[in-house]
Amino acid sequence: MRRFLTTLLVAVAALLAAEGLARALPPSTLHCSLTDRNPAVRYGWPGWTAPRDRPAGQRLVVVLSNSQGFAPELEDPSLTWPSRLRRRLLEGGDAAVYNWSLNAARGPELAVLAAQAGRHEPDLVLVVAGSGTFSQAQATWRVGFRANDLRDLLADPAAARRLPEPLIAGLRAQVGLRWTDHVRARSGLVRLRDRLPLLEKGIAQVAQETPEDGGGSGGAGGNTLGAHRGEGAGDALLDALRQAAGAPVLFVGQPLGPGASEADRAARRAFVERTAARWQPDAGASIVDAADAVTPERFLSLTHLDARGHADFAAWLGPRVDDALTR
Amino acid sequence: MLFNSPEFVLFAPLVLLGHAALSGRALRLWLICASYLFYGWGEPWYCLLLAFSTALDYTAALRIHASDRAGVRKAWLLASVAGNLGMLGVFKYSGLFLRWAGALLGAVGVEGLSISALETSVRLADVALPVGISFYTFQTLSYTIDVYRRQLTPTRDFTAVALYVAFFPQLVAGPIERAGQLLPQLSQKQRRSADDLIAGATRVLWGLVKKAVFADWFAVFVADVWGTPETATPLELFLGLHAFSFQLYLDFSAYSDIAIGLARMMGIRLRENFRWPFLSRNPVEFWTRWHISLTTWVRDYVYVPLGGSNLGRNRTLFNSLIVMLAIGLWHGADEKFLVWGLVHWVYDSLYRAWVNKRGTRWYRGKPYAWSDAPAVLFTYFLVIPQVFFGAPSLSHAWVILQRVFSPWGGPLLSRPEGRVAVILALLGVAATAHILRGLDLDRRLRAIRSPLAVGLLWAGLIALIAVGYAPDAEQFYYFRF
Repeated sequence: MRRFLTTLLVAVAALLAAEGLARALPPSTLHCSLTDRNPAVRYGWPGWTAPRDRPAGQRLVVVLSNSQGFAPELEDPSLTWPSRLRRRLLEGGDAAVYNWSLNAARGPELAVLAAQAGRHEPDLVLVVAGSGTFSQAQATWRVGFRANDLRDLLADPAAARRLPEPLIAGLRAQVGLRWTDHVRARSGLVRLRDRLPLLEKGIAQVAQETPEDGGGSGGAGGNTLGAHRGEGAGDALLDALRQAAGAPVLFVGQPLGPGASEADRAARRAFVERTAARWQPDAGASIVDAADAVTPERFLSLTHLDARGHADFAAWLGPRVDDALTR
Repeated sequence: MLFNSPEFVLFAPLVLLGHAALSGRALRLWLICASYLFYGWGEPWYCLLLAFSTALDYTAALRIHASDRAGVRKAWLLASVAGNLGMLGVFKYSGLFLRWAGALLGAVGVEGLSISALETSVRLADVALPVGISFYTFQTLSYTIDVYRRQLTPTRDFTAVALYVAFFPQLVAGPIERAGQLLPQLSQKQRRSADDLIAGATRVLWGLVKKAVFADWFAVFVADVWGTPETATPLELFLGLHAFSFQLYLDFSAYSDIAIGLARMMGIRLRENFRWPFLSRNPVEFWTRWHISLTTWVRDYVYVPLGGSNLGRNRTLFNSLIVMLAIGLWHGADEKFLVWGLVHWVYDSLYRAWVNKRGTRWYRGKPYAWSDAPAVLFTYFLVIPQVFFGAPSLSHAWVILQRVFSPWGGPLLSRPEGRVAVILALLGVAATAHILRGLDLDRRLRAIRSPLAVGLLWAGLIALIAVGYAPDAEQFYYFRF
């Protein structure tokens, strides 16, 4: 028995030493500033979005958007509007744009990412989304994050405490946060994964979703803030995002495609006016509508822009971002 | 409860502490409670099936033993067989049998009747397959059969039989134990040494590494390329054949490792279930290294009673066909498992015919040499029939095989290069481990016993899981059987 206990002791000591060494290592080189999009698409968000040192004087804009920002149809990421925006900002000095766009992103994901963005102390959090992003019910992890990533982010107290408790509680209930997730979120050893590019590439764009990740889209417990749903819940979610970011926020109602009806435009106008009125006392938050910023022929599909559409939208966006940064 | 679940990390040490503190009947009751908790964690009603099987076979074994009248003995044996196989039939095979019956009725022109009556029946039978039912029904059946054959004296201690049926380390995915070996170990507390504890814990950790770092990564790749074979390239599908074979082996042998390791930490020795099957030098040897507890069960309770290989060449062929089909059907209620068994039977029969004609040596039990490499490589192509096992359906399997064995044109890869690189790296590690083992080059590693070295090994294995675990933790593959 003594030999067994000695062996156990050696193992625990070695693990603690390894954990200490892992924590002492400088931040991972696989980081959001090194490329224009998250290469893992649906995986590795905690490592991908972890804060790191940035050069003094560098302006930082974090883009939170959906497939309009991720632009899966463009093989060359330098053609996307976030990349074009970065090039524009670089003309005025050192600048970085983190493109955290997520295909089919919904409100809770963007709020969690905004909390993570706040840890970078950005100069601006630019949110480009539709009004439905914050009010339509859809199970969070079905469309964007993998459950494990959401668990990791929620288990990370630095990010989680930036969000209102009802939202955190609701999301935790959805993904089934367990004690192992807390261990994993705090483990330096687990974070070593971020240093293994092969592993990250290996998990890039793997399966779409798994049954483990929850029920069908639109199910109970989807895009909710605590017990609230619908329009009011969407507003509260958007406000939670703004607070979680802890930095100036510019919300841009994304360009509407050729299929948009007059009712869609009216709903967008109402949403923008309502949000603008609510945010009016806060100088750090503003909302603009880009419904007609891109002409219909610049769309590849009902919602996705072509390369010229991205250029047009970046040109439309540039002055407004400049304005928000200097405000 | 899964071995790779967070709950189990708390459950196992608690059970082991209880095991250390208790003895006799209290220990058996403790382990029975733990086993029922383990089994009923997700679906408590499954425990009723376990209890039914225990009560039936406890009674049947005692009645068989107590009677000298052949009719009574046979009746109780039949009751045990019918009860256990009936349970298996209802929960596992009813859907398949009703589908076949529907097709048969349709073929003879009573389609209207078949649709209304059989659809209702299929819906009624559409219940979840209780986890591990194929394993424990076979294990408990062997108890009554051995008593019937007068190879075993039944115990009057109900707790010993209940624990034999429900012993949690091997309950849901084997190894399928025999009462003659396991019951005496469960009837009284076994002495366990520090060696047992250390070797058992090492085996458990090694099993977790095989599952989380290897098998689950292979599972991600296989699900991706085999799930949509039309979009995968022939190279990816070919890699999928190898990845699935290793996934199946590593997943299942990982479960066996954990089961054997846990039992050993309680001083109980379970039988080995795998012996490096990809080191086989012929198809016959393969079956002495793969899922040994099932193949020996079928050999002892099906093949030998049918006459084995003692009744001439044709009868031997027929008997081995029955065995292979039974093994196939044991795995799942799907035609693809029958095809899988059939293809293995063809391999097996061709090899036997070749041996009979050429008098080639059988290799069994002989040490390896580099000159064995061609035989090992040739036998390695037993990975091909595994496609019938792992593909979502027979039609998927055909598409995969057609694409792999047609001329390869077009791009080599359709999936990210990094993902294919991960799979190649893992296959390389698995193949290297086999080579080291085959040539006995790992002997010194296996002989290490110093607490410092073993402690560092444990820490290394845990760190490997922390860093290298696959993104989607899969449940063990054989849980579905």
